[in-house]
Amino acid sequence: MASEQRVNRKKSPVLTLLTIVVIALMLYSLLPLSYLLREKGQNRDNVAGFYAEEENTLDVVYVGASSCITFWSPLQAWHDYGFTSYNFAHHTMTARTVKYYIIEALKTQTPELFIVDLRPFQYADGPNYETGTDNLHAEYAIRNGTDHLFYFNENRRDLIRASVPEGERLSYYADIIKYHSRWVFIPFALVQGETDFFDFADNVKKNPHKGFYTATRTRPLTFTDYRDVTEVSPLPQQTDEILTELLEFCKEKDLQVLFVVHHYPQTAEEKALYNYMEERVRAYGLDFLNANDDWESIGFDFDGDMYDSNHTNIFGAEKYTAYLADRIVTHYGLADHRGDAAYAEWDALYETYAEETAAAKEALLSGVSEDAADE
Amino acid sequence: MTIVSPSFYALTAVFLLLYYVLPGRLQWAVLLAASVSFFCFAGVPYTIVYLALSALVTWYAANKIGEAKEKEAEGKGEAKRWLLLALFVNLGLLAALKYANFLLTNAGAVYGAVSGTAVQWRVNWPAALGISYYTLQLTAYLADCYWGICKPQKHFGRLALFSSFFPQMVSGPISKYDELGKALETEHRFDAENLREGLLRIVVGVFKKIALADNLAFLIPHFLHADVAGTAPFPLLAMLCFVVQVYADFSGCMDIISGVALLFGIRMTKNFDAPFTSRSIQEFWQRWHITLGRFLKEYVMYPLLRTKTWAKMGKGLKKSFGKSAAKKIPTYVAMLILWFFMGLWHGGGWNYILEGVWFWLVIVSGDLLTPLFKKINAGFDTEAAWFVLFQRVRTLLIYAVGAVLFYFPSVTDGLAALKEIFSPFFFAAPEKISAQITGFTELSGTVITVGQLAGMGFAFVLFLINAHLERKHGGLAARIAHWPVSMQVLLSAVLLYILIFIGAYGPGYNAAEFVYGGF
Amino acid sequence: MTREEILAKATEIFRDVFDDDSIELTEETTAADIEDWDSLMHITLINEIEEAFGYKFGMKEVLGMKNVGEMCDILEKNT
Repeated sequence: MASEQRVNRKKSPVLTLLTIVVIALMLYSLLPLSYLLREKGQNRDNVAGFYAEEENTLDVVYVGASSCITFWSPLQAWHDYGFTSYNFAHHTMTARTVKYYIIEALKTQTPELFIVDLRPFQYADGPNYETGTDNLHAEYAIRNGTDHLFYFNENRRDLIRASVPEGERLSYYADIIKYHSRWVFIPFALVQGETDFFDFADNVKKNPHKGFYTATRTRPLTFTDYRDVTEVSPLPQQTDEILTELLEFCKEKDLQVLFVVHHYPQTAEEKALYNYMEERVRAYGLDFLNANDDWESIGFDFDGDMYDSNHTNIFGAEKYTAYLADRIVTHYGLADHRGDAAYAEWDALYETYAEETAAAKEALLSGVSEDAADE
Repeated sequence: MTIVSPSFYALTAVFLLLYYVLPGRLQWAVLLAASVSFFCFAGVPYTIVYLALSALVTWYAANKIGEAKEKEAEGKGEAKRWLLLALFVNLGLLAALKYANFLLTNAGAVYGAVSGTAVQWRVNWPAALGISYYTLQLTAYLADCYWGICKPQKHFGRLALFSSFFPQMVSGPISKYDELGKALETEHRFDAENLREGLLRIVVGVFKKIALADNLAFLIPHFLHADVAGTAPFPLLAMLCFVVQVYADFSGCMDIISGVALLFGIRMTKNFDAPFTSRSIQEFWQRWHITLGRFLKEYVMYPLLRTKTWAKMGKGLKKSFGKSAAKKIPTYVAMLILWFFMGLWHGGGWNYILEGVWFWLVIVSGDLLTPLFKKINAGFDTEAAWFVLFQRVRTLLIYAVGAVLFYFPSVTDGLAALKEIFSPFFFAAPEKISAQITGFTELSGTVITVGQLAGMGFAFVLFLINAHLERKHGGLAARIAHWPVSMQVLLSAVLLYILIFIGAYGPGYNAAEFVYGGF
Repeated sequence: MTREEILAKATEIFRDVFDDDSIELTEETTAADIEDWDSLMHITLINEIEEAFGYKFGMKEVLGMKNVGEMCDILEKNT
């Protein structure tokens, strides 16, 4: 009982100090542990990898959803044209969040050019909290990015506020709430000697492919050319507002932006949507490019260059990168850094990359590639 | 708002501050405001009218009973009328809100059997939060007033607080007025000791609930999954998990509740006292959910045994069956009624009633076989460690059988599960068992991982350590009471830190629905 | 009745109810001291005492008695 518990407890400054130190250590460990428990994979490599890029060294930042990751190869562009770029892209990036990734990029980089993938704007009826469709996908559409950004980040907070309904945001802000039970991976990694598990402890790890993923599978696709469709069909109101917001933002920040449409077997309706986006983008004095219109001059082969209907394989990536890089250099006059000692890392990374892609292409041609069923 | 949600502690903190800042004579009002707020956040707000109605009727009737009793003999009938009226209202509300569907389902089944047309009778009336607890508490209060054990509370606000005191609305205890009511009448000054002990109890409780109970709850369906069903030892493990889960959940809640109450300077009646160190199931029920057992004993069984009917039953039996039967049988019948209500109290379902009857059966058989046991036990030292352990394990298994019946809403399923658990006491072939257990960190699907088994083992070890601490010291918080405060803070911090990782909370804490592993 | 007489009479009833002739009651005897004096037998015992002494306990007394001494107090006052 309380009254008889007036025990004289020992007071020890040493124990008090120990307590303070241990509690401080525990608090301090939460941040790296939280980073370590996050989902691994392409999204992590791309988003957290962006933080590893040296400040103000990127000429081009490529923002968008997963197709960017397979279409644009920064190291190839470097090797052929001498400008630096990075795919600041993750799977299922939503239209609403594109702006926030540009803001995040501007924190450490001053690129000459942003390339923005317009695919997210086409998926107005895709997974979306706002329309209440497919909440699980909607959740990951956000998490694929926010779960890899730094903590204590105002921009990240704004992104979550803009995208996640009130009341569900806590586990986005502090994603350890979602992933905490993965602590089992830590002793597991230690036992297995997987030291690279701990590389992400500070949420920064160099991405040796600069955000590119070598896709090794071929899926032949039926392609119908809708280049000549000139109809214009407006975006749904909500998506249109998001686009306006993004365009206003680009204008306000005086950014040079090229909005692109990756080639894929699009429908006439989709072409009409992109026609509308083109009008909107050009009205703001920004650039627009629909690669579908140029598929012939690119030399694109829908039988051999696609991984699936949204993504290229390595062959398609090479063709698209060559086409776009040439165009960028012609239009935007980017400086050629090749030979500059400060960029030596890029040459080294290219060496490895070239070997890897050569092997990948060989595997693809000889048929020893990923099975089509693994999608 | 649950009692392990951050918002609950935010609410508690706000009212705690007001409680000690405002003058002591307003403390009851602060607690009443806290209780009303909690009720509205945690329950269906409008159902507070049920609680208010019960409190109002009880308050009025209790005072009438008090007045009638002052009139001595001629007031007796009047007091009784008020008592019955108030009981009718309170228990009627409980029956309507909690048991209407049980009654309707059974009535429907009978109707269907008689008329040949199947019917589905159901109502959808949300019950008031804590109705099972406050109704019994008010029943006990009315009886206490009637029996002259306590004086009726004249102040309605204070009686409303006694009816709705927020920490105990979720899982009790069922307090007597002399315990809780008196404590709520007293002014409490801030006491750092209470704060220390209260916080420790909360930490221990939250740990029990989130780290142990909720994780084990997640494991059980894995053990019961079709892939492993019927493969010993999985059904047995499921049963043990459930026993530990129920205990950790319930006693963890009680730790939190008593801890929160202690922050306000109020010491709650003990509801658990090392139940799993009991040597008999009778002892178990004196240590498990103590206040419910006490209520049923003192307010149901004793009054029954003291009615004229029971006295007549005893006399009648004496004539035809002898003295011994006359002593025992009326008590057994009263106990059966007690255990029927014990089961029914847990919910409207035959499985609950069967659970209650099961315990009755065990206790009555134990009582009848006492002479035999005495003979057997004469041959050795009944205080020997091995025998004590045997008795404890036996008690746990007897409880576990009841818990299995409790787990399955369908009696048939429960009995089938029991058969599965206890009939194959030979284990499946090692290959077959190991085939059901996969890698360490597999997070998806219905397979059982080595990691989960390790976690379960860890939970069982903590369960045993806790049982020991409770028996010897009255729990962890009491065990470390004399430690330097810094060490107590450190231990709490370490527990909370571990909880961050092993706790079952957050969206998809156990799932890993990686939508896009690749693309 | 004197206190001694009450105690002696009660002892007989106890021995009868619990079938145990070795029971020796004192003022301090509680339920814990007699093996079979549990909550099941409590009311049976009370009923027998009531019959023998011709006094009906109130529920307050039934629930409130702490030991045999308190029971004797009540009986002494009322018989």
